[in-house]
Amino acid sequence: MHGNNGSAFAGLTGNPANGDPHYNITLAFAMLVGRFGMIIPVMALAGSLGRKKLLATSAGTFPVSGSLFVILLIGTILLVGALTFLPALTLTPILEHFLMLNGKLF
Amino acid sequence: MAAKSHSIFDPAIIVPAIGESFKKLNPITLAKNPVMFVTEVGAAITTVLLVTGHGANFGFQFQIALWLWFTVLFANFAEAMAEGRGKAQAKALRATRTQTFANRLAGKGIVEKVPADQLRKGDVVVVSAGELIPGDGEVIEGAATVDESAITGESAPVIRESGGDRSAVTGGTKVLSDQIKIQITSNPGETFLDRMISLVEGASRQKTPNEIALTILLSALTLIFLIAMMSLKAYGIASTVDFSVPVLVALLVCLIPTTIGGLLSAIGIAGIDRLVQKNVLAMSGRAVEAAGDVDVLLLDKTGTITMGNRQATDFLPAPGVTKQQLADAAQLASLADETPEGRSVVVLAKNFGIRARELSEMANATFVPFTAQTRMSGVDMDGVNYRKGSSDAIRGFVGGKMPGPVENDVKSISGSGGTPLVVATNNRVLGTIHLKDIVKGGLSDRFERFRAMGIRTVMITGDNPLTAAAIAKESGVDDFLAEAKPEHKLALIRKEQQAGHLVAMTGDGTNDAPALAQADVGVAMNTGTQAAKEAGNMVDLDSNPTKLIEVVEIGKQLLITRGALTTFSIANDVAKYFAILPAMLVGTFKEIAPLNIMFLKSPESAILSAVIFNAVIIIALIPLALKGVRFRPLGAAKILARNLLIYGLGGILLPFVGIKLIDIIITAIGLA
Repeated sequence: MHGNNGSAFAGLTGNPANGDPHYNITLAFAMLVGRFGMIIPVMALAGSLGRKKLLATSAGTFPVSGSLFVILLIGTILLVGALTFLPALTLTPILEHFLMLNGKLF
Repeated sequence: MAAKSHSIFDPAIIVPAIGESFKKLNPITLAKNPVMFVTEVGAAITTVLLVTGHGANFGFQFQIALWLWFTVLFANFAEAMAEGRGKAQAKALRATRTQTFANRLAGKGIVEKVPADQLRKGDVVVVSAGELIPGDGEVIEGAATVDESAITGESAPVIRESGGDRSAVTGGTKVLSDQIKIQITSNPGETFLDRMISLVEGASRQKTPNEIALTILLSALTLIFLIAMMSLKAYGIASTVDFSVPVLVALLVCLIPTTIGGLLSAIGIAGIDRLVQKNVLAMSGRAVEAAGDVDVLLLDKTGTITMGNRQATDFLPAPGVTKQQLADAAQLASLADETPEGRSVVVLAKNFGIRARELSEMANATFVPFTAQTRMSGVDMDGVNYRKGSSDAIRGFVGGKMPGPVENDVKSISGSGGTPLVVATNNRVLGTIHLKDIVKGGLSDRFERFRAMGIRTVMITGDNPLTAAAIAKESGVDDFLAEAKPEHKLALIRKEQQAGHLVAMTGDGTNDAPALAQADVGVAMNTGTQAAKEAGNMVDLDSNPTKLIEVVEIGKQLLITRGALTTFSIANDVAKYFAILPAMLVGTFKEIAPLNIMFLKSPESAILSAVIFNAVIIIALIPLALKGVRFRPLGAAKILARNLLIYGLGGILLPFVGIKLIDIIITAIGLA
């Protein structure tokens, strides 16, 4: 048994011995949409913002620098990200953690 | 007169609103609100499963379905309440407008008395001396003098007669003499009040830009959570945990931002309502939102910053002349002067012991009226020509030169922002009258408030730069534009808009119409002309030019309320996760129990508590949505920090308490 540095994925591979292609296909699809497909909406956003009128800053302008904005941005990203992925996460890593604490695993 | 604000708990509004909430369940109208539409579909699916199910867990499923329907109904109720209050407000306002009666000719010489708003296009009315003209129309018979000061501000009466180009009359003006027959040319019901009512009425209401943007955001969130739910079902199959559809639907509805989704339209309607409470009729919801972002305010000097008319405040005699003599001559020269300035001179002269002389006493006097050419007025009496007028005109009258001290007086009066009127008899200059523009009280505080909000105030006047500068300093505006003609107003607005500012403007005359139309927020005075009211996007019934402060505050408050409730809605989700997710898993994996940090009694009660909290929070927040978040005139960063703390942090913490409380209640009653 060679040393396991955690990157062997416990035997999970895209090319399993029985030739089942579904991991390869689903992973490929996820990468395509997640990395390249996202380019389209982001470019559309940039185009839409670029066409907007520039407003002058005043005391009533939303501050996009400074600690308030940083906290707000990080907080929103964490909150929305957590809300999106928590269901799936609870079912797997988090659940397994609790199982592990009780001596069981999946 | 401010319209009374209705208490939220007025049964006359609540009861019809309950009926309305059921009517709004119609999926076709509800589709405009994606979040609530998804909730309704979820409720329908749960109900269908309940009916076709095999009775497994009937009590639990029934309550879930029930509370899902309640969620949709509560959201509809919020909207119906806001609409009901809006209509009640408008009705109260309509009742306070004075009712004019008209004498309508019903053919064959019969004259019937009808209320003015029952008149229709084509009706013929007869108006006699002393009566108000009931509606816009054309004189078809007769001629009369009409006082149009209610519309134009000109107190000098005008002649209106049939035929020719002086036949058009406006509703609200008064006939002073003779009698005329008028044919009505416009229908009531296209008044501004009716247009505003259509803004709050459900069927014809359109979404404002900010509402559309927010709806897109909420729809995107809903879509994300929907996909998360579907993948959760798939994960469940893989982990051999059975997630039943009602439980998944319950989770979905709890996660999507139903609080803000349900209250969004109510907030918008309530914003227009609050404007009506301040006696401002908004012609578009978009204008209310634009008002919140305005950062430049254009104000007229006359009638806005200063009292409409200048008042005589002092007599400055030339060397060798007593104040008494000056006052006497000034008064004589002003007796025939109908303008308020002239009358104030007569009043001031009384302070010097000069009895007000009647015009009729002076039979041997010829009055010389003011003309644009001479720019003087006065009286010729007993061989003496008394004149008063501008310093240039009098200088010319006395032969080209005035005594040094008088010139100094004229300069110092101009420099201090007043208007000097020089008085002369024959060739002798007697002295100067100081006419002062009285700045309205309390204005510098109002302008300070504007500054705190980040809004720059600009005064526009036709006066010379010296006078304008003095008035600007006294009243506290940030900037001024002197010797301004109407086209300068328009140019200034365009320039500010190019620089990226949002401009608000108040106006009343027809010459203000282009500027009012160009401005992002144009508030027309109710006493202004029809053209001004059409060009602007708001009408101020009090004709108070500083009403814009309230308009801006309400606009900002509207946007802040939306933001606060959106933050609250999303922050609530954290606690709901901690309630529902452990409940869904603990049946198969009891090891996950520590995640139940609220120590909820059972999985069923946990899920039910979350769903009930989700529904009840909508009702609980209706008063806040209708009243709006309290607005303080601070900079944006401060307001944001404050509201994030209250609604963000509060939104995270409150549901923990709320769900636990509901859980205790329903387990005590034994419902789950």
